[in-house]
Amino acid sequence: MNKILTKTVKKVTLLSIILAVILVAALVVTRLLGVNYAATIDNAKTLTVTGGYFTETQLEDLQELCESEFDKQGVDPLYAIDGGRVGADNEIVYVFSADTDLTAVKTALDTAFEGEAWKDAVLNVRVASDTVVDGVEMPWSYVLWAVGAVVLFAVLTFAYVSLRYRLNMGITTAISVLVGAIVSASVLLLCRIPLNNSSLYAVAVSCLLTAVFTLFTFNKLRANLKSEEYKSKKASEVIAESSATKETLALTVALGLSLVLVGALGTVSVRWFALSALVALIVSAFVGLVYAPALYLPFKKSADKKAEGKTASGYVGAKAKKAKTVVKEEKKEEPAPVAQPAPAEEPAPAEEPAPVEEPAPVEEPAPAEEPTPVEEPAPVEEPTPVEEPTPAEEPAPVEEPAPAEEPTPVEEPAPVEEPASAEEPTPVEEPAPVEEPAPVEEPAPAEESDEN
Amino acid sequence: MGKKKSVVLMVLLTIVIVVLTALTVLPTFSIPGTPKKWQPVALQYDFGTDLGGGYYAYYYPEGVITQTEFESNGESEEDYLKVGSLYLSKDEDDGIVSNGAVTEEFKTAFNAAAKEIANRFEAKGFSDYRLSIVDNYSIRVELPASQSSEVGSVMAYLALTGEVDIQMSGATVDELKEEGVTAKDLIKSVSVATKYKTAYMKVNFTSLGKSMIERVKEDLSTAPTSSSADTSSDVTLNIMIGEQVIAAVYQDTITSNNSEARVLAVAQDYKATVETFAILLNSALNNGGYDISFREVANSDIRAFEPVYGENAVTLLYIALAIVLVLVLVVPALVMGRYGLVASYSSLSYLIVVGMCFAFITNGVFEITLGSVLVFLAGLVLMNALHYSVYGAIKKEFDNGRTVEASVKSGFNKTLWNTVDIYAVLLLGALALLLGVAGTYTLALQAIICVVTGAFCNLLWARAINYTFLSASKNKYKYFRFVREDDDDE
Repeated sequence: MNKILTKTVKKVTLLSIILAVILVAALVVTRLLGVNYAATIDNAKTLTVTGGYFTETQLEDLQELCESEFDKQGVDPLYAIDGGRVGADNEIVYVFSADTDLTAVKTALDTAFEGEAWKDAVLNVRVASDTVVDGVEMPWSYVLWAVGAVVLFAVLTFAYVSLRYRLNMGITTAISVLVGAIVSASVLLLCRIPLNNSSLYAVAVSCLLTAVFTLFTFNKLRANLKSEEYKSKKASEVIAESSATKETLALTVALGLSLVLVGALGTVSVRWFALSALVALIVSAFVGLVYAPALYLPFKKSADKKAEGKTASGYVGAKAKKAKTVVKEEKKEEPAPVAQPAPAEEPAPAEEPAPVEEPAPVEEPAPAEEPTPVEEPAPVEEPTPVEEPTPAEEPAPVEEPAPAEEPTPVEEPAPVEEPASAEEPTPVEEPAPVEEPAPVEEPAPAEESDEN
Repeated sequence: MGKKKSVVLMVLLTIVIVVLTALTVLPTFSIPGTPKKWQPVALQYDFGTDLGGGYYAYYYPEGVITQTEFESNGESEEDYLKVGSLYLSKDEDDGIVSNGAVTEEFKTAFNAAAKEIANRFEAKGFSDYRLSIVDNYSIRVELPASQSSEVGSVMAYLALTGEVDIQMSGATVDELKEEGVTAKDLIKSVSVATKYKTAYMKVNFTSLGKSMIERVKEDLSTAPTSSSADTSSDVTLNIMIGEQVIAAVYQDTITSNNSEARVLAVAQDYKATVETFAILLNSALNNGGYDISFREVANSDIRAFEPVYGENAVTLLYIALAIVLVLVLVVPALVMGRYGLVASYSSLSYLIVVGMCFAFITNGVFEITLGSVLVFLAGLVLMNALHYSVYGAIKKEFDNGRTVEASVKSGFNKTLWNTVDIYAVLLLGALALLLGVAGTYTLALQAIICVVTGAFCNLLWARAINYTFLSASKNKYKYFRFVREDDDDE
């Protein structure tokens, strides 16, 4: 899973386009085909059988008769409403889809009720069209207030997460919450899952779940950004490795199985609701696990760049300029190499230690790891002038300064200053090549004095 | 904690949890020696339409009758026009049918009235309701079973379509007799308030209304007060819709500056009924009357129905939830060893607290819908997921070489703020959802309960249970299923 996340974390644009396409497709489908409302709130045709007071057995017989007539006529009711009143008459309302022709069924039932078994019962069959008043299927005020609640949640989440985590994480979480709600609703519309007021609950809960899944990732990311192990890694790697895959998948699978179980054992309306909730859950998991980290990456990169003091154009800020000036001045202060009568045999040129890599830019104000200190060799002291014609001893060869990558410090007579500021590591100077002082020439034999 | 103390506490805790769980979910049974039946908490919920069924009634305009009435009254087709399953009166005085066709005025008035009635039901904020037009000229309304306490008043009053009238001693007040003056010029607004456990309707008067009150106050002073048992006096100031008295204004219900009157005072439990009247009055004040009236809906005209997809919807749902609960109790024990028992006890505690809160918080507010099931499940699964993350943190600390006690302390501490942050955000979400209306508002309240309970179980209760169980445990490594490799002694 981490391999997939490593790839997807860099693809925020592609993911955003995919989600936008889903939204647009849902709007187009809804515009063309209308909203698919659940049968209990949609237009219908009803066949109502009204009669006197029936015992349980008589009621069952009546229902059996009606259902057998439906089978004969090839019509199938969506559901039935047994509208009883205590001590009064009974009424059974069979609800069919709005385009069903019930004329033949009514005639058949009228004929059946004139039979011997039912002639004493006062039975009346009526067929009616049942058209839901506009806007009642899912009242607009309910939807608008629910949308307002989601927006308010996004704002509150932004405020809390920004305070407790980071500003960028707050922005990412708020956007993820909104995206989770919008995409959940879009998928429900696109898949033509029958909607009723319960569907609003699924979308509302999807916001909460999206926030939870996003916070799982940010909790891990928050801890990883403070650890040494991730300081040198790229932002995309850090984010990809911080995805809370296990926790998100565990919660998704557990809740998903629960919903499947509830839907499998429940009635039709429960089944459709469980499916809506499952869709909302999967969308929330996708947004929290895949989209939110990808959305966070550009924010993090931007914050890292600001922390370095550089912009994308390479403009060097005032601080970096000052640091460069200090380095130049230090170079000028280095002593000139020692002037010797004869060029000394230079030792093999000291290998330039590889320049110390600047530490990976850090976002946190916590002090960055100091680069491995490379001890700069002190400038070579001038050998003391020879006073006596004693043969000059070659000084012990100076050890070549170790390359910067090697931790072994170079032995030098003078202590070496460490780089001045941890945030702006001064580039380590290449140590000046060490020159051996030239051997002193043997003094010419003393001239015989004239006196002799 | 000493071992003996821990064992005693453990046993007590187990007994309490088992008893409370039984109170919550034990199936119904007859109590021997009494006609009463044991009802668990889980069967005392008010359900939405999907799970609990509901009530429905028809609104027929005056002059419109059903096929049953047509046949039972022996009416003639000369007097009625058949439209679908309805019969419309051809009497010219009714203005419904003219020249063998339904008049445009009647169609317009009916459609406008149907729309306004739909707006009133929407303002009531039912989580589930359905309002449909049957055969073009009658209205069918369905309400969830949870509204049983007020279904009668709602069905009866929300279909009133007359204009608002204010009458003093049976005659319209002088102010309303002037041309162009309507009740809206006298009554600014109507709202519902509660005080001292009493709910009442507040009628706010305009300046014209105040002067009307000033004028009639003297007459009202001879009338009984609102608390008087004397109903013989006809000196009353009544607010009416059509011919129906909605509220009587008594002298002692008018404030000293005449700006408002407090009417329809009832016990706070019946606040919903007062809300119905307030919605009705506001609708009539703002939109006026309609040239159509509907026949009165008596309680005997209201029918009840079971959940449309089967009476067993709730039973099957409970079976599914029971299976989920068993899995939630067993799986943590298998995965986390005896620490899993802590998670199981925590889950049972969550079930008890949430189950009881859902049942016993104000009737009418806590309607159990499918959304309630979803937030309950989500809270339960999240709580267990966080238990698992705590276990993982403890294990990690142990693998780093710490003792069990130190690992537990450190593991809990390291996961503390992550858990707090998650529940804090969820609480903010639940509070934000309070902005929603109807079912979303109810869902928000239920989500708050689930979040607070889950946070309590994860942050405090589980720690306390773990402390007790761990103290009583003989082998702390086995408790967590930890294995420590022996150090090599060299």
